[in-house]
Amino acid sequence: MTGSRHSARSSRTGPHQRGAAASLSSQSGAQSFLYSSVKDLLASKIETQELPSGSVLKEASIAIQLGVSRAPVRRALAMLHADGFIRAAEGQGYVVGEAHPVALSSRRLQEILVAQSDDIGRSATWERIFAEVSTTVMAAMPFGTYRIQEEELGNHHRVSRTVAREVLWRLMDRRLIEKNRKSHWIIGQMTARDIRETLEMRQVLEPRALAQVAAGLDRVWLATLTARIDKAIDDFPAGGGASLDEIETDMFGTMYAGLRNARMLSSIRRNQISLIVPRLFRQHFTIRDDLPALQEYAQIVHHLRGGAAGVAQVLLANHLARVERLTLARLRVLSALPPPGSAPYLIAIH
Amino acid sequence: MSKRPLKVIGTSVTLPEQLRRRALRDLAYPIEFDVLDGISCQQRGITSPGSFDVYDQWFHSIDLLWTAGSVQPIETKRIKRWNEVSLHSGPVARPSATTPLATGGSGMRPSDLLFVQEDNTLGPTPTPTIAMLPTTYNVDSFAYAPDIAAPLGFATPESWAWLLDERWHGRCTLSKDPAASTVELALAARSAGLVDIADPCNLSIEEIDALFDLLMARRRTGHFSRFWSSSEDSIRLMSGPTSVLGSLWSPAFYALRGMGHNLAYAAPSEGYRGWQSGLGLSAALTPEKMEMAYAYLNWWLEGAAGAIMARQGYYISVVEPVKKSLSAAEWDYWYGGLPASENLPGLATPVAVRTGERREGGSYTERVSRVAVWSTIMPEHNYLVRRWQEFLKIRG
Repeated sequence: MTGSRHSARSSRTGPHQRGAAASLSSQSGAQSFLYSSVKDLLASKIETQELPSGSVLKEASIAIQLGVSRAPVRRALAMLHADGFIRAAEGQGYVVGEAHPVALSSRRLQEILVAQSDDIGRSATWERIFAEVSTTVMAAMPFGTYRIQEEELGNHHRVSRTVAREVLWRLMDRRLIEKNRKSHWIIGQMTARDIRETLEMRQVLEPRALAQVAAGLDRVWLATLTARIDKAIDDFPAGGGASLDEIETDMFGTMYAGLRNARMLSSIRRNQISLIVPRLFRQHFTIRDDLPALQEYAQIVHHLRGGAAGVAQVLLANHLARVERLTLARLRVLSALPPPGSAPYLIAIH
Repeated sequence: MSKRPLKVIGTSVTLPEQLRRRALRDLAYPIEFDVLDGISCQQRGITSPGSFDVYDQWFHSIDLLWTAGSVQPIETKRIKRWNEVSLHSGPVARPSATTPLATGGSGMRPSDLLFVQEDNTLGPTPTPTIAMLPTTYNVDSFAYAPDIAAPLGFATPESWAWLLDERWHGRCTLSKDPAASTVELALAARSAGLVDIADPCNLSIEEIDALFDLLMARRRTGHFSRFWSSSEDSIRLMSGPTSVLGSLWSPAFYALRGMGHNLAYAAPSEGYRGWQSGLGLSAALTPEKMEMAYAYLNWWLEGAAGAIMARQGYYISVVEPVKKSLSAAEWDYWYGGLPASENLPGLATPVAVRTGERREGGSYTERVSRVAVWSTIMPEHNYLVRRWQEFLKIRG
């Protein structure tokens, strides 16, 4: 069972690794972040056996108790399933561990989940901000060098300076911003060199990561991903850029979420700025040149589902090598766009 | 054919009044010309393909338009004189037919952006479709007032380093287009020994920063007068007292000469900045207008347009019909590099060249073989453009 392999890691995953999906998602940033909090909450309750073996977990009732929508809960459950914490129940939902299924009353579920869910309430604050701030930061990167004012950031989002600082530290951990010698938070302008260098790193890291997570990937999730990619190909280019953004969030974010090597995972996330360029490009220009990527994603997932992780690795490496030229060409086109309407906490330096 | 006019956007140097009138006369359908400055035209080309049918602009900008998806492939079989089209680097349809004129020069060579490759990128390998039809081209440098240069101690051969020489303090003007001006300034800074630069057309981040540190300082102390955005703008600047040295396109140079200004065009020892112009078809061009668009493209290569371009110093990709459209004296001066045997007409003035004058740099073969750099969208273009915009904002 994969659970034993993943549970040790799950218990010590910090918030560092939570953010990839959100940071890659402009449309549903806060939303896609939430699944990670929900997942961590449920995992911790399972590990402390507050949610005992046999507990039946249903998407709808958990969503109601936590006051969130069903989508992040669905995703959290799928990931817990992939990690081996829970198994699919006959009929609806999932069952914790190996024991015979036992339904939980909604009151019992509330006691277990909500009584101590300050955790999720608190973290959701900075996480919601994190998603929005990282989207703003990434949108600014091709357009110049900016300074982020900590206090203004806090005021803008009506959070304390401590929370604002927490967000900024996490952005720095993701290499989206840096601290300069005067200890100012700086968004450095994205360069062609950044794209080349990070893509080189991605070619080293991501195929390896893929091989490591391949066996533990949730079958249902992979099947859903296949269906979404196939639909994007069938509808191309009418499907638009947003569905592509979401597919890439899963291909390069969610895909590696189960990685046990936390150092590798954070390195991957620090090197994914090349994903920012097509995301911004597609908001303004044609997606014509994205069809080959979709076809490559389809092939990669196809081989993952067929158990041919080695083939998927090679295809991924080829994909990452191929997109360099296109990504650089698109970065040059971004030169034609004016800087985005700046957030009040950003000051253009040059 | 559609009754709605064909919409053409371009700049005043490739769409002068004479050319517009001649096109309307020769082609039996309405054409709506929109004459813009260079940067605005490029911007329209990238961001609003719905606002034009034909894009007439710098060839290097196709790098941006093609990626942005705002132009569509041109079928070479629909270009009647395709087999006669040549670039600086020689005939393009039959690459080995003759020895290329100019294979040198760093940067984005037009031939490298010509053909639509199988993977939908642009490259030099011939295929049935091209991204842009090469039309007019030239090699550029800068113009200066010789009677001011001599007392300041300047003597030929000219050097790009002159652009940054402090003896011209306050009187140097440049184009607002970073794809041209930055390579010129990089050449200048390198020649003057002010900045270490390996390749002026492929600047690293460090080289861009070092170059702009220098340029910003020069701007603040008032070295540059003003920057021009169109040929007319440059004429206004160079005919006033404030600018006596500056990069200049040849239509502006010959207009100023025709107006009686004593200006010399440099043949810099480092070589020229080469550029190519071309025509692209909007991605939004409707099938009903397709025939009109191809007729317009073909018309450009028939000689009349080439002759009009020649009278302002431009060459064209199909030469033979132009030879027939120019007088022998015109051909000998503009293309042959021989002394003018009589006064020659310009586009802006009745006389642009006086008897006995000789074009700087010699014949077109000699001139185009001395391309040092090409107008270029370099790899760090986005970074460069942001620095350039910041540079332009500084008040000198």
